[in-house]
Amino acid sequence: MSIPIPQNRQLMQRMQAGSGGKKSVVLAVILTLIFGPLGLFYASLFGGILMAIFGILVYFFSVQFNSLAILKYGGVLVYVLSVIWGVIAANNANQGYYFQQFKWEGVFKRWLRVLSVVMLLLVIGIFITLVIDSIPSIKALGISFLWGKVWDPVANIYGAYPFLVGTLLTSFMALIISLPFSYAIAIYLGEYNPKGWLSSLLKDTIDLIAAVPSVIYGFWGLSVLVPIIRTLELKWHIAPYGVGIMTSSLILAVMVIPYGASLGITMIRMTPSPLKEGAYALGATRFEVIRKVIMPYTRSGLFAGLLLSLGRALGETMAVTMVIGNTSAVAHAFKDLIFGPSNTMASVIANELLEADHTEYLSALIELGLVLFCVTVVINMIGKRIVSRFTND
Amino acid sequence: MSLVFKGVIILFAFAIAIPLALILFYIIKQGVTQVNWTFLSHVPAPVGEKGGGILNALLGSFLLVLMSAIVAIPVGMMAGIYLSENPKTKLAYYAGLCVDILQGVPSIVMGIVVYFWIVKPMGTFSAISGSIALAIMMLPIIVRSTEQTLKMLPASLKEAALSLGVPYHKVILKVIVPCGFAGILSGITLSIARVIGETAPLLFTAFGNPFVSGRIAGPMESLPHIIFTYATSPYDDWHNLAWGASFILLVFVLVLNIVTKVITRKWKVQL
Repeated sequence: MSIPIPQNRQLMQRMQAGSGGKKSVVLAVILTLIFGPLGLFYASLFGGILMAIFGILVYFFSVQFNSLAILKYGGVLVYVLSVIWGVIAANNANQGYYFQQFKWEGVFKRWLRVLSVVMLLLVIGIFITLVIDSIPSIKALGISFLWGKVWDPVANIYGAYPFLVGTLLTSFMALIISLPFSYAIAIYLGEYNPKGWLSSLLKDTIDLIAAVPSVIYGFWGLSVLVPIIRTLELKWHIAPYGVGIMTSSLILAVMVIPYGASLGITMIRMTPSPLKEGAYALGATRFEVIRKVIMPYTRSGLFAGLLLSLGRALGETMAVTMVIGNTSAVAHAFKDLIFGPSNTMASVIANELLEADHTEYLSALIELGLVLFCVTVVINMIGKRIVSRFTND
Repeated sequence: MSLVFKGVIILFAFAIAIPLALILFYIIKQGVTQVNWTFLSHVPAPVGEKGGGILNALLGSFLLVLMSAIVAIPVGMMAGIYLSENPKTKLAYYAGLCVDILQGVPSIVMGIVVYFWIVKPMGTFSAISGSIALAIMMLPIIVRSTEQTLKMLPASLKEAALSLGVPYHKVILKVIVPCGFAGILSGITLSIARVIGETAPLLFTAFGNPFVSGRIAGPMESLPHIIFTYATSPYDDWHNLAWGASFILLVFVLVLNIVTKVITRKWKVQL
């Protein structure tokens, strides 16, 4: 008995002569030299289309940027690339189908790798840019920049202390306010009621809170929350600014609840059921199971959730900028500090970067950005590390 | 005790709906009355004049997000494919780490960096720089969603295709990616929903523009930016404009999120 060999004539032909039949290399060169990208259509349809798009883009950019140089150099580049591509494509077409596919495999794999390297380059590039542009300020002020108490660009004095205080106060107050809510959501959705319409409604609510843009939170806070706080401050005999650390913390608290909650839900659900069942079998009530079994088991996971929320809160810009009041002075009395206007690192950058009129001022702001970047990266890394260790166990 | 605890938990868990409801209610109440055809088809009017709209911001936002999506989607998908295909390599480990870092970078820092990368050398604020900042913010979400989706596909799918002699790039592009299309798509819509409301990276890049502009080498207005500038202005007319813009931005974000939800529910994707 002989094994039937599929006789696919088309395939055989392709294997012998390539997908489009034989092509003349000389003709490809002549055509591309005369017609540029359009001549490339003979050798390679794909290449022709790509080069034509490239050419159109060059024209488009030269019009947009109003520069003839782009048109000149871009045009030459398109022509040269077309000629090279034409030669290679015509040459390839004369080789077998499988040879071409084999080549494309290599190209594809290489691009996958290149674009992953892009991720590395982006992060390294961000870091290096921040470092280089903050060198003037690092040189002039050194490490004492961090606890310099005065920020006075007019007098050319820069100290980050007011913003450090503002950032840490708003973030940690927001965290403390959000804590009971995000834990309650995590426990409710993770343990009490993981399924059903009520819990999916709650979950949609959380997703929605995470989805609302921060500028809308800021606008709402500015026009609704600020007057409310102002009235309260009048009642409590505090200077009635309305804007300030308290207001921003409240807004921030709402904004970071989803981050802590959603991680908490996953963590609580991962508590092994034998542990819980064992506790129930010993006669524990649900409250006791949650307090004595689930809480200790998920402690590190919930902590990671807190860290990720903190990372969010530290870097949050727009909502805070709109309601914090933007003052670079630090109040002395505790009451004034909590309720009075202040500034965070992110908000001072947002407000002053485009106003910075000399190098030192600008680079001091960049240095704030560098500090912000490093702190959020470290916090996020620790949080993610905890999560991944937790999920791998 | 147990009951009391449960009550407290439920109370706190559902209390979160209150601020959201307040915000939604207020935005809708203030915004809906502003939105009409004039509002959608005119540029902002000077203070004191009636009428005026946010056409420049609508078009600008659309262009910015479109350009950033064109950059971010292919790059993010390819990187995501690499991460899911070669999970054990050193490059995959470091690239994954960098994606995590990118996800955590504060948006204002992204604004600064792109300001120094593009705005300073070009000498002018431009839509290009804005969309590049947005694209970098989109990348991590797309990479992660692509990676997660493709990792969940059964290995037999790939093996079957490879055993038929299909070249590697065709296996990925014609078998694996179409199978995980829903997950990737939901990642894309999610990332668009996130960057369409980003203001901080646009402050120093796209900057804003009171006129309708198609020049991508020049400054361009966007919805979140117009909200920020007009919300912090002292004029009531402009506040009203900002309310209308907030309402429209909110609608966009909600629609995008609902689309993501529908996709994930329909194809049972886990993000």
